[in-house]
Amino acid sequence: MMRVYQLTNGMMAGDAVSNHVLEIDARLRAWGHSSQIFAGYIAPEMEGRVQPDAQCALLPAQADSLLIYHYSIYNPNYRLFARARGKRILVYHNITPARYFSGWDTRQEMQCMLGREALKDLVAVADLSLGDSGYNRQELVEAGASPEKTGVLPIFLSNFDARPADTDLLHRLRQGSAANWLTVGRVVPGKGLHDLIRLFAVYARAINPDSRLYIVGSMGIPAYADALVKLAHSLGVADRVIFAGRVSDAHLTAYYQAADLYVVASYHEGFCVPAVESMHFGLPVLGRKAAALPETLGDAGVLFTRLGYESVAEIAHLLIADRDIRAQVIRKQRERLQALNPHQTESALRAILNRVGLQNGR
Amino acid sequence: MDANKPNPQIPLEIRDPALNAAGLIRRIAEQVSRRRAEGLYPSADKLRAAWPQTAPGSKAALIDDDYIFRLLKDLTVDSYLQEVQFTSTAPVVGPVIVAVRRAWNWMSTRWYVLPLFKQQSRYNEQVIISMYRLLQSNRALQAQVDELQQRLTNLERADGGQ
Repeated sequence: MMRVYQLTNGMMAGDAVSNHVLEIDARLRAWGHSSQIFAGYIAPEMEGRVQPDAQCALLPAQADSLLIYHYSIYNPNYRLFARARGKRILVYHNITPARYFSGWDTRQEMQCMLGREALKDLVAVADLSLGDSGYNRQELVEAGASPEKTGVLPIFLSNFDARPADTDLLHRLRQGSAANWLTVGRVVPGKGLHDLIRLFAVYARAINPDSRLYIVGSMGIPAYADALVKLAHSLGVADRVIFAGRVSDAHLTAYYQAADLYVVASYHEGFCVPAVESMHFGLPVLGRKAAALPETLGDAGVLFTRLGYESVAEIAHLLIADRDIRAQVIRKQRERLQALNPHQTESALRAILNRVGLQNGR
Repeated sequence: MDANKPNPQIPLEIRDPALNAAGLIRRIAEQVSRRRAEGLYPSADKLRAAWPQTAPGSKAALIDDDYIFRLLKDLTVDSYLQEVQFTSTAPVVGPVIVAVRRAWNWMSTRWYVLPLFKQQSRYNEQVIISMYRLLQSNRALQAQVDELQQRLTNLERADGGQ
């Protein structure tokens, strides 16, 4: 038995990294190891399961312990990782390049810049640096990690079936015959939502007026969110672009189940969990060919290489309205999901623990 | 046509070999031509004009003194750390809860945390003063650059536009 500690920025329900941490914790315990989680921010629902990060500094300095640091945003607690004794694994979930916040939010721009700077320090001390995609792994190498000390640990995905939809919301969303577009994620410039609204406007005005675009995610930057609302007004689609904000798991499931198409316009994605969730819910995925999205989709989904609004809006229409094309895209996406299932991730975790000399127990 | 070869006219990549990518792209191109001819799409100019070319606080705005002064003003407001004032909305027992929390804080935490608050506030103040001085120094340098630019222009004129 070994002592394994996981340290992260924050732990909250419905967050992909938090879920990943909990899944690793469950496996470590099942394999007979002692496992504890520490975080800078602990949401009320996580109290009792997670301890404040400052306590991580008080852990006895044991050479036979393992600290796993999940890194997705700059947090001064990265110094705890740099100072820790014993084995150290860095799990990099990607940090948005600062330029996407430039001119919109100086604080987040600075945080991203600091975060990417600190990454160099982290890879220098880590025994192993892992990305949750090959794309993230490559960024670790660019930050100075030797390739032989890097690897990929795919993200553990939520148990979707354990999250039933809110039936009232689902019923409301399914009323009428409108084609529903969906995108999920923080409302920040790197998600390319200004491009998405323009794309939707072309679709709604030229191809199918009976349509809606649901943008589900927290409004990270008020100035950006205001600009998006103005954009929708000026393009005459304000009544069809709905900002749902951050929603509960039950509501999120309802949005997935009621949608006809999932669209990713992001300039930058380290993995894109919502695209995988969409595949699970049988939604065709149309996305920008950028960052890790092509890798996450594999041969499934449809990518646009640049925004020719007219032709991208036309393929969106086919993915919604052409039964054969839609069925084939969904079929291929289901195949792709097999490669991302939790058993594969579990095997990868076992192999990684072996690499750092940790026996897997049972 | 190779299904995976990008078509420069149609910016789509369809990687599933079971989908007839070439046929799909042809179909899309036909639809685009038809709807274009019918004038159904919003114009590219309209789409472009609807979104600002630069973000509101982009570099052009960042060198604007007013913007930096506003930023400094906001920072100044937040720079001074203040103690939390305990309140309670509970009827009847509310004042008792507040008094107990205040007493406990006074006894257990305040003596330790207050000096840290003061130290951090002093540090924040020094950072803001330094930024202000840098801003003033930047203004002075800009004035010198403007003056030198003017003198250079005058010299070039005097030298026959060379």
